[in-house]
Amino acid sequence: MNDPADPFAHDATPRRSSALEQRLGRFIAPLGWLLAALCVVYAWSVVEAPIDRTQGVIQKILYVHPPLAYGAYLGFVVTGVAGLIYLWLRREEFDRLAIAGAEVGVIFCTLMLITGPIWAKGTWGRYWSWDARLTLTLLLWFVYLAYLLLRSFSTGGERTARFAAVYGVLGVILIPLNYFIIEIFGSRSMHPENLERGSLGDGMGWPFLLGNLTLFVAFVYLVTLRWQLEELRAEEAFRLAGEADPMNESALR
Amino acid sequence: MTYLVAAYGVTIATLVGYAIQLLRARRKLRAAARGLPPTRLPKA
Repeated sequence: MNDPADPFAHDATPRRSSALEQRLGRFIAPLGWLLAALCVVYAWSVVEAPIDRTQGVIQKILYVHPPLAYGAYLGFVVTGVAGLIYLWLRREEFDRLAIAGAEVGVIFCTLMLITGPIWAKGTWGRYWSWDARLTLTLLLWFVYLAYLLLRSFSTGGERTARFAAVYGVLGVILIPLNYFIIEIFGSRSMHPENLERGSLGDGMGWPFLLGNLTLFVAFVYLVTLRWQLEELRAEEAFRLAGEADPMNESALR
Repeated sequence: MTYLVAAYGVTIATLVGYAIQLLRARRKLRAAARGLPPTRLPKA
């Protein structure tokens, strides 16, 4: 048994899910339907969007690549913020949210690192350049991939959760640096400048906006679903622990 | 055009595949919680 006087004692006893997670689970199905409807409108807007005079049809990758980047940043911010809340309140549901944010963020970041080079091949003539932003994005991807590896190779428990929370918070520092590195490097950066209001051509604003909205809803849907899955795994572990030791289960109830 | 199809194809396939994987895992865990097998049994 853990010493109740020691708040840092390792506690491997799985806990039940929180009411917050259960409430969020109700939004998953409506979110899925909203996402399906948005996908149709988004696809139509990309098809109907005007073709860029300079880059041609490949410019339409713009409607998916930056929204994926924002989703990746958001995922890592969710991990950092949930980690901070976990360190403050020590509530396990926030540790589970941190895992969900990191996993979905890594998937979005991977897709950003795939769609970007595809655009670069058609525009620059090569898939990759060791440009400041590209290199820092790759570093960001490695940082959160390492976070997921840490979580998958460890047995769980409070110590791992605490270490992962600190690591997840520190990784977030790279995000503003990654965003503003183009301003820092100026004309030496090959990556196009950050988009500003009015920088898109006529008729390109709507597909870009819809791309951001659709991928944001996809992000929320996947994070909520992944969070619910962690909750169900925790419940399953709790149930199995109770079956193995019925006295322990009755004590926890 | 090939680059465009590749970029959108990889994105859609990955996100849809990931969502399906999560939904399947959720179904299995819910079934386990109810003490049922993860998939429906065929009719006799």
